[in-house]
Amino acid sequence: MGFSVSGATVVLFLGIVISFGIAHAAVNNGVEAVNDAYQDSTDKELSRQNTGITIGSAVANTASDTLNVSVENTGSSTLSITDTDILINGTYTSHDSMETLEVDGNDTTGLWLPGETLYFVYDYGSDSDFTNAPTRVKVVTDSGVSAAAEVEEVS
Amino acid sequence: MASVSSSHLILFIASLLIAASVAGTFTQGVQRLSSALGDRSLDVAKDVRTDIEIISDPGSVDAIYDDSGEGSLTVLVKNTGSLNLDADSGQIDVLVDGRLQTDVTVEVADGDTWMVGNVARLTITKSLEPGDHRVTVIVNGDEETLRFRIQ
Repeated sequence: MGFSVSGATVVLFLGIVISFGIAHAAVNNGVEAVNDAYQDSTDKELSRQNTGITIGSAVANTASDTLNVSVENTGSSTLSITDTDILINGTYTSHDSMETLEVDGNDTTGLWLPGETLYFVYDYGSDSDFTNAPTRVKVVTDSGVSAAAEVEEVS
Repeated sequence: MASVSSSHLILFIASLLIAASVAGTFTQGVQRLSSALGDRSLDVAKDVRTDIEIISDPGSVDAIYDDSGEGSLTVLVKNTGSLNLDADSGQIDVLVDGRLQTDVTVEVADGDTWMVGNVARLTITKSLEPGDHRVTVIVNGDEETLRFRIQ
């Protein structure tokens, strides 16, 4: 009887050890994946809280049929120009169709630092969608923080 | 004496067999539970990483609702999370005034894939009456609502 009991105990013990190994690996990987995801989402939320933009001016010049907009980065985080979206009259307008797109006079940079002003010019005269000057403009940053303004007309 | 040792041997083999089958069943159960846990945590991580934002401008309703023909709604949705999403209507649920829409076309406005920072344009064929309306977009459990008014 002695051998049977110890033999059976060894086999059961091995089973438990192997199971624990499998469970530990799975739980560890799972917790790590979820933790990383929460960390990323907290980081995103933090940068969103630190983001702020204000439209300084939105002017449509009816003499040259251009829309001139300046937007200031009033937050404390650095924004990406590539991920900044521009909506003119609610329609997504790509950066390539802008006549000018620059940050404090620099049109080669991809960064929009705190305190700097993004300036863009859109030639709506060459766009057949516009018979009149645009009335609204909206700018959205990479984290989803946005600013919208009515366009003022000057001739 | 020989009969005693052979009965011992039989009992020994039997106890080993029983112990092995119990340990086997236990290990298998734990293995299944672990793989389910692994799948579930991947799903949870995906849901946590997903974040979208509707960026359409409700102030310019003409860009949202076009009443020509059958009528169509255009909603711009930005990927603000940390996971690249599939720009596929099977992955995106759209509700207009609480009703699930099946006629939804998805395209990415500023690229080929709906990566982090990119904007997807959802076009929904639906005719709407003047008045207040709401569009809800759901991706991986993240829900965003756009309210607008048609004059």
